[in-house]
Amino acid sequence: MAEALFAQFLTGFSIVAILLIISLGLAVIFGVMRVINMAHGDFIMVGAYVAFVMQEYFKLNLFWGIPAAFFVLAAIGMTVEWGLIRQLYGRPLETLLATWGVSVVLQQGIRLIFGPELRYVRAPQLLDGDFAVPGSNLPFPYFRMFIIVLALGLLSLTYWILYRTDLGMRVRAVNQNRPMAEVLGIDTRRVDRFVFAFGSGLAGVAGTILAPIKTVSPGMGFPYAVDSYMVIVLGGVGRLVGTVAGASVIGEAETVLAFLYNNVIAKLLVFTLIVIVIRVFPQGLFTLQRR
Amino acid sequence: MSIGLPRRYLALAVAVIGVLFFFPFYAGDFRMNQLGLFLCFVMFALSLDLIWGFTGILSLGNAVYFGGGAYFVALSLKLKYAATNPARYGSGIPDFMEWNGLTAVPTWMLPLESIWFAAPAGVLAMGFLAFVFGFITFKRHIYGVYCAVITLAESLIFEELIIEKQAYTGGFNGITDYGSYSSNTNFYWVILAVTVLFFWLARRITTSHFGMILQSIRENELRSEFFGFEVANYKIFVFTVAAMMSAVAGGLYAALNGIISHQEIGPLLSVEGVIWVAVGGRGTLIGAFVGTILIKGAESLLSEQFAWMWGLLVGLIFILVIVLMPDGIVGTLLRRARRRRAIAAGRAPAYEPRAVSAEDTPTA
Amino acid sequence: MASSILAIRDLVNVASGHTIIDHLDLEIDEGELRVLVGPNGAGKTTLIDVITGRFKPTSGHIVFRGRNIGGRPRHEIYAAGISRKFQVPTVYENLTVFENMSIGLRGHRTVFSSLTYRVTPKAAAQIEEILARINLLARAGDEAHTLSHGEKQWLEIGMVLASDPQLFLLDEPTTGMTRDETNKTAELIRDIARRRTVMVVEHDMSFVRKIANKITVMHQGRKLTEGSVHQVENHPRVAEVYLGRQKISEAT
Repeated sequence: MAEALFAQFLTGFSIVAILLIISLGLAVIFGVMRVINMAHGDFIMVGAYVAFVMQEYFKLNLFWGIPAAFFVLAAIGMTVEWGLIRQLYGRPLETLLATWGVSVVLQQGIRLIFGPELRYVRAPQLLDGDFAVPGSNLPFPYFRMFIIVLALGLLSLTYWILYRTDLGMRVRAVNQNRPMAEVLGIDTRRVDRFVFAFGSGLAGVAGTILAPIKTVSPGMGFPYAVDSYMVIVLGGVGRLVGTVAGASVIGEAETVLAFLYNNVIAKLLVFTLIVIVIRVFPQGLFTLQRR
Repeated sequence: MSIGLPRRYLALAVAVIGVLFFFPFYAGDFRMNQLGLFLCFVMFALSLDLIWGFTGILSLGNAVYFGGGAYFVALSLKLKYAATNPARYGSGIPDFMEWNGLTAVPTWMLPLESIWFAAPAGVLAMGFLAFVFGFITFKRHIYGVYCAVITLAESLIFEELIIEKQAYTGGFNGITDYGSYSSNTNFYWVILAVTVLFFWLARRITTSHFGMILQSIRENELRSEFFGFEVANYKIFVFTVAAMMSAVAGGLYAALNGIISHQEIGPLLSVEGVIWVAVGGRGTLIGAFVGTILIKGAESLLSEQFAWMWGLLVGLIFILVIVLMPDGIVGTLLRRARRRRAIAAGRAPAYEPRAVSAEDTPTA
Repeated sequence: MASSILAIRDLVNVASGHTIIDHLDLEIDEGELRVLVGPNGAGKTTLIDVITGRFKPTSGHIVFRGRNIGGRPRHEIYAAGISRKFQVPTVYENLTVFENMSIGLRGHRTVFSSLTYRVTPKAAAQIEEILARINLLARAGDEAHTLSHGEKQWLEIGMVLASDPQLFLLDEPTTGMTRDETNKTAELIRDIARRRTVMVVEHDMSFVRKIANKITVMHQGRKLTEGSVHQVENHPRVAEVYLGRQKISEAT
């Protein structure tokens, strides 16, 4: 039993990694723009379809799919930001609803182009198979290891951009005090556009990672969107550590509980846990205080 | 905004009710059933207008209460039907129970066999659920985007729970085949009567002092707190009332439709309701009617021909409405009417803030 | 000697690591018209926030008419008799002037009482009387968003008046007002102070001189000094802290 639990715990790491990849983009967007993108799940879905197209039409494997999805979704994100988000500046609830409209459009659009059937994307051959976890006999798939590595890589990339570049500094300035940033001459509109594009790109990457694990279909994105919202609600806004914390707690809790009970009960319990935590920390575990 | 109903609006309302009343006589059974279902959705939308349009609570999970009420009624009718139709249900219990290895109706479910218990129980249960949720959420000042997202998650979880507990709920396929009240003109009129009643009730609430306080909460919750109002209590109350309204609507829906599934509980219907209110005009009550009938009506007419692109169209229309007409159809019409009256009275019509909410920041 | 209506002892408020109120002592007598001044960041608005229950005090006591109100919920503090006017005119734009006033009216604040409440003729008369005092009677039926900035300030004052407070807290009530409006507001506040205890936070020193009896000067979260206009003006630290080396009376 203990070994099985430990195995679940390890699998949980890859779930945490997936949650992190899914939520990172949204966390950055929400942190800076206070906008919840209801189409986030569908951005993920489109990323999966990009991987599918790369595989079927260009005969290129997932390693190519990842950057392709990033750029496709960054472009889509920029368009949505320019055409929609910008028009609804200062009205978070309306923005939320409008992005739901985008979600519907994307889903229906994909359905029209590709049909509603399930599609299958393969993991790259390089990553096939398992390896033995050192110190035990448990097999751990290479692909899941890759996901964990990728998650850490994306986290590092985001951290590096935010804390080691000029652009990142501007993003952080807007994050902490938008009016002040504007007064200091920072072009907040460009920052917004970048942030939204970057966050959308990350969603696309998440989609390519998920494609081999779950089947690809027009409606696949929604549960992931909800998951990412929960990560942000729990983890807090404006700080990367919050997103990591949120993803870790939810990912591990869900995996272990699903093993002990079942998937749905696990979700219910985790949801209850989140609601309880929110009562104590209404803005999440690690939130940036804005002046 | 506490206008007494001007005479011309009253006449219009009577005319509309008249049209709806005589509908069965000139439209045939199929359309009558459809309209009956639509009216249930209208009531659902109305409840959403109360909490969102008037109080500013955006809930993306209120179908939980609609579907909850529906499941209580459907289960009850199914139990009754299975028990009294030995030709179809040899063991006297619903099919999905049999498929899942149950040999008898679980004891805790037995009271549901009586519709006179099940229906009110459903409404009260949903009211209680809403009360608990409201208490947890609003007492802690969780509102706006956080509230919307949490209600969304809640809705999704309930949907999955319903599917999972298939022995008791019929799982993914839901509860079917329980002898519905479709093509029953009397039942249609019952639905119509309840709809009118709910509109009357909603109007009483929103034009009262209480209703004004709700609007003040929507506009600036913090300010109302400093005027001594326990905002959380107001929110909890209206949220509970809305949930019970939805539960009634759901129960009627189940009785009319003959089929209930997880779709009536999940985020899809929840968000659809919000779309209907947004398009019709939030904070107007009648907007709930207009939006629902328009979209559902168009859907049934157009999707028969353009099924493939209907979904896409709805998405685009919704985006356009949110961006260009945030007050919705009725809301925009009312504003224009007010402007005309202001101009006619010789006053310059000042800048009118659109339906504001406590979340909105002033645009530069 | 008038009894003290509000006694603040050793109040501390810390937020996000910053000490905004730093061991403040303040006492206001019943019926007084006190003015609170101080440079930006002195903690004046935060003090009002803590008194009215927006923030909990980190430590210290706030005693109002013998009751300890520090940390109590907002509606309780309101019910005890303290009302505030915000710095930015905060009225309900989508409601009419009359409706705004009726929200301010004391009483029937619970859910059930407000469901059955109807504005009585007596209450309506009360509202109209206040509207007349603040010169908005003619606008009673207009929606609040049609009012000018100064009119909104007065409407908010009217709403607070309608709540019949024992202690009336005003936060920079003349912000954005014209000279004329400022004079009218000074008159209004003096009039209000005849029957109630009023504390005004202000920046505009010429306005302060029109209304003040006693001034409390705050600086960096504590009380710097207290006294009449003359005493405060001539206090060496005040001039330094507040306006550089200029004397207060030189400020217009």
